[in-house]
Amino acid sequence: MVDPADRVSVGTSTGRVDLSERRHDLRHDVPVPFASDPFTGYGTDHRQQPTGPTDLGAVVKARAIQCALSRVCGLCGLSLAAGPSAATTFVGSVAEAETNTFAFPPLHPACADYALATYPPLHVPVLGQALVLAEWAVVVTGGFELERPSERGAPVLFHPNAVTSRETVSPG
Amino acid sequence: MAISDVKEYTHLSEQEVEALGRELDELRAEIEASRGASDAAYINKMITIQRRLAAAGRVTLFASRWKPAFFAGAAMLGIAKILENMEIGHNVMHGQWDWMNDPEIHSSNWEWDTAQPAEQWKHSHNYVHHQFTNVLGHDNDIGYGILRMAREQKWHPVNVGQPVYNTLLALLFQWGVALHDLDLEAIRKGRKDPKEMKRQLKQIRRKVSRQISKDYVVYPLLSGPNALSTIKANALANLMRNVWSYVIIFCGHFPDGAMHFTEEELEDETRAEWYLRQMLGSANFEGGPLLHILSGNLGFQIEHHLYPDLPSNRYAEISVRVKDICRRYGIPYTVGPLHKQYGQALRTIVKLSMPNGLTRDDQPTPPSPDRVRQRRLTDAERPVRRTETGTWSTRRTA
Repeated sequence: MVDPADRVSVGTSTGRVDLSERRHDLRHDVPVPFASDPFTGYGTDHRQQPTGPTDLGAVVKARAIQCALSRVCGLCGLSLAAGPSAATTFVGSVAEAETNTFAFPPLHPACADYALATYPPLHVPVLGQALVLAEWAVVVTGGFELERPSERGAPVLFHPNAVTSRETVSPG
Repeated sequence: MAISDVKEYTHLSEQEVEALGRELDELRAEIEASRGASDAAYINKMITIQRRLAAAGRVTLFASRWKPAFFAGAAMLGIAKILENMEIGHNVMHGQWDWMNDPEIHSSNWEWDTAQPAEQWKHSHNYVHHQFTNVLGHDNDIGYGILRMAREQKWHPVNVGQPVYNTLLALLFQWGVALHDLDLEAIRKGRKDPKEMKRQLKQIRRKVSRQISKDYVVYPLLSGPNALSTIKANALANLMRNVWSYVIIFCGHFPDGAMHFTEEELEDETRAEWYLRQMLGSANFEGGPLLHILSGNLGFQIEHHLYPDLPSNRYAEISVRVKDICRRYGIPYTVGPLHKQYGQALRTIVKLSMPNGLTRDDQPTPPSPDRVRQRRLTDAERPVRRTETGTWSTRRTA
């Protein structure tokens, strides 16, 4: 079990990840990504608490749109302000990278590193995926387009539009 | 009432709404595909002009005890602030130029010359206002929490003072906007997370200190014996920017014809319905290229709300196509000269300071469609609805 104090700020090879605002999923002992948490963000009441487990593979539509329009990270929920670089990162399946269409909102580069080190080893669907993935695509971009659902119940999608790197990784 | 019951487009069938959405999608795709060097040159040129104007204004104010220098410096600085806030800051923070991959001209990194922290603007404006455009109870731009701007809002005796509050809002606009994202209503109802509120207040304090020290301490001190007159000139420049921004913003959603919606109207809307809500909730104003630049191209408010992240210099060409689409589908396209649009907003402020029974509704009758179309189903008439995981609506449907 991780000490709660260590959950707040985590170092990765690309920077620090601030998870102080994130709720913790006790079943998997991981932070709940902002984009997967229906109990945080605009329109929620901080006094309301979830009663059941969190679906770590889900992307809450309202949160996805908030990430896109407010320019906030899908993991930590904080501004995508990136210092000297304007880069944001998308993670998803290889098929998503090939079609340049991602379901999970953009992440800080450090949050993407943290997410890939933390969630895939749980061996449950995570980060906007319906299936457990062995390989993950990582796409770094300066910007992206938001695609609102054209049908009721369809997901919000993201299209990177200034891609600087693409790679495939096999975490844990 | 559901979005499909809004009388301005109940004449459209489900298929026609989807066809309209496809046309707007195609228009977006065309602009995305043609974005390039000339657009990049435009925003770079705007930034260069703005910085030179600001520098010229600041330098001129070193001689601000001399009246012509006072007024020239204040005017240059005021216009520079208007350009920075409207055409540059507002549009950069929407991500209109992120595709250039320039770390400086980027929504993640731009911090603008006004009291509200950029991060809070991107939440209160880019998300709350653009997602919940003109939705009562959500969009705090409807009267900025102090003005009654829709007949659907309940009248209270305190509304009698609206003309006065409106004047104060115009004069102190940047300070009102600075507090915008705190969401006073959520604080009042105890919904706001105290930790989040503390974080936001800290950000506001930091930004306000920076703005005050820049305009009222550092630059005045640099002008030596002219410090006091430089303080006055900087205050005048800020006042110019405040009043201008206020006028432009109030012309975007409050002239006659711009509609308000209720929370239920958001329910599970498709992209095409979202487009329609943006078109019906916004209003344009006419003018020459200089007026459009100084207003951040928000004279094309309808186009801005349809495509908030497409480059603002393209809105003029987009507007020709959008106007044509509106005409063909029998959708209102609200537009008029700036003075008329602002006059209507001002009339609404004055009228709604009184109870509904004492005033008449000024909303125009929607245009008749040029042919009879198959009516769309209302939400209640639709057979099965999927419930979104989002938290927009408290209304449940089967």
